[in-house]
Amino acid sequence: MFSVSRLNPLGRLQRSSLLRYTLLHTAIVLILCGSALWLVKDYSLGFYQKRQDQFVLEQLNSLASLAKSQSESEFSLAVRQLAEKSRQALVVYKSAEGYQGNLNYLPETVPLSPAMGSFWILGDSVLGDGRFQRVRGSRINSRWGPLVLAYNSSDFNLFASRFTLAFYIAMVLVLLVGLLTGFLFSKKVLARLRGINQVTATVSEGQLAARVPVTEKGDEFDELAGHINQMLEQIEDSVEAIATVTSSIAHDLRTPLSRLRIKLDGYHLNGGAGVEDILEAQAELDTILHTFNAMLELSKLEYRHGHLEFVPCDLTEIGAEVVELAEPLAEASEQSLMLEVQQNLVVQGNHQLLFRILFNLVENAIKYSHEGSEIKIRVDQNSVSVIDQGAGIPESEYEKVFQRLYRLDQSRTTPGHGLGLSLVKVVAERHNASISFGKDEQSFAVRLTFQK
Amino acid sequence: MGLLKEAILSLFMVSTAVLAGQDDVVLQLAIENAKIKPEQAIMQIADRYPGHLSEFGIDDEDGSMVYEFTIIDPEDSVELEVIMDAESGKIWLDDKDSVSSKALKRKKYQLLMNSGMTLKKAIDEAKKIVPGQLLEAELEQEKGIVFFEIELLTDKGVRKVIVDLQSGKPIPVTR
Repeated sequence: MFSVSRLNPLGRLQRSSLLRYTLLHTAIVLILCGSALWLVKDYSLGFYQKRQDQFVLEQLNSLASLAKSQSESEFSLAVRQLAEKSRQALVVYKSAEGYQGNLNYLPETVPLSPAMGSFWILGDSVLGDGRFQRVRGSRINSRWGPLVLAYNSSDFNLFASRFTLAFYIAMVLVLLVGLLTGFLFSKKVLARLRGINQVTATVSEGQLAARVPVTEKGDEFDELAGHINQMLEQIEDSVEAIATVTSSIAHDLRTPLSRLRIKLDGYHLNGGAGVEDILEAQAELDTILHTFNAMLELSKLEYRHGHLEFVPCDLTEIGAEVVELAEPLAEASEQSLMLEVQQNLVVQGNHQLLFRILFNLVENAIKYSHEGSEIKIRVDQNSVSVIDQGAGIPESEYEKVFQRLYRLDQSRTTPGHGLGLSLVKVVAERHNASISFGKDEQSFAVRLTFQK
Repeated sequence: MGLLKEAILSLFMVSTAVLAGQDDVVLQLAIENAKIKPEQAIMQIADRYPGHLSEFGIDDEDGSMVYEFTIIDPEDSVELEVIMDAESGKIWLDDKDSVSSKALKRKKYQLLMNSGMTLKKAIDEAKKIVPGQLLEAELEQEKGIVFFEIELLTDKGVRKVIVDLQSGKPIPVTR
């Protein structure tokens, strides 16, 4: 559908809302202006025409009663007098001697009073708007012959025709302005929708990095763009995470599994395995199982499976436990490990998980710091930090280190499964704590800040 | 009309001074004395030429009165101007113009050809409402109305009658 519409601009135009909205807008504007002008016309010209009709009918009434009471010659005289005296009355009366009055012919199509009909006359217009005039009149059949009386409305006709001309010009202007404004307005609105459409199409073609442009107006479109961008961000993260996890699994689990396989093949070739061989194979399997378990636990925590018991936890106490447990590790690499308490910190949390993550951070610090360096756990009023003198994490990797199975060491030669910081992040999130990194020339700090 | 006027006045032995400005009277006298009357001339021309008469007029040529006619012939797509001597009845072709087929499709000519209304019928219709002597008849179009504008000479002067081709009826004229 999309590619077809790109190839066929006319089809695209027909399907596009631009044309429909433009036409709709124009139609509404036209109807509004048309009705307004029509009302004006009805109240001004319509009123004037009713007055004219009234004049005609009144004159005809009096002529009708005159015909009843007067003789033919008196009636004829009255008609001639009316024709001479009145500027408005066009009157013609067909007597036996011919046509009397100020018209030379009695049009047969004019309906009987009180119905009104219009007909053409040829008159010398004062205002020079052509010789032919359309007039409205009515007819009576008196006993002396038929009579037609009409209103000489040449001035009025001129006015009405000027009004009609103005009406049409106004409507054409309204049409043009309506089309233009409708087009511009719709184009502006739809251009932004099209931008969003294009981005989503690009994304569905596989380019996850595409983003909808957001303007500074902060209107509904920007809100929509913001939501879409946020969604794309998450999708991109997930896709990247899946890709990373897949390749990580391939690497982390394939290597020990292959090693295991080679070992088993060796035993098979040798015709049997010793106790030591079996223990080695078991250790290999344990590593694999450990990685699996860690990933499973992380998933459970991440997707909030299982209920966690939250109690007040004293972080000074936890820090002391971590130092106690990690001290032998630090001593093995001749590092010093200490706890610095600036202020006691008690938070609502799960003691076991908080211990786990603090231990993870300390373990990382020991692993990645040089021999003889100093590692510190610092507790203050709202945070707990692990500070070491190692190289730390490069700023460009801050986001990525929390991904599952992500290793700073791309060659994956140092032991570890790359799940430590992911766990830290998940646990921190469940405790409403934020993680930040601090770096200067001598030291690197990972800080967990709790909300009070 | 100078020469014609002189000729007629000499015929009736009337002084020019008495009738100064009274062209109508002169014309009436001229027509009354013509051997062939306008109505007869129209009949003859209508019989002789195929097509439709669209104009009739009276003029003088070298002191003698002549009738002028315009005929539209859609068959040959031509407009003929024909002159007839009112005295001798001699007829000659004065001018012949071709009329484009596009022009023939115009409302004016379409109604002349198809309405069934002819110059002759229009003149009869006009005389019914204004009894008088035919002076001139012309096919015209104004405001979408196609009509014969006919001038008749009455005792009160020249009067105009309009006959609509569409309805075949006159259109009232103010007086």
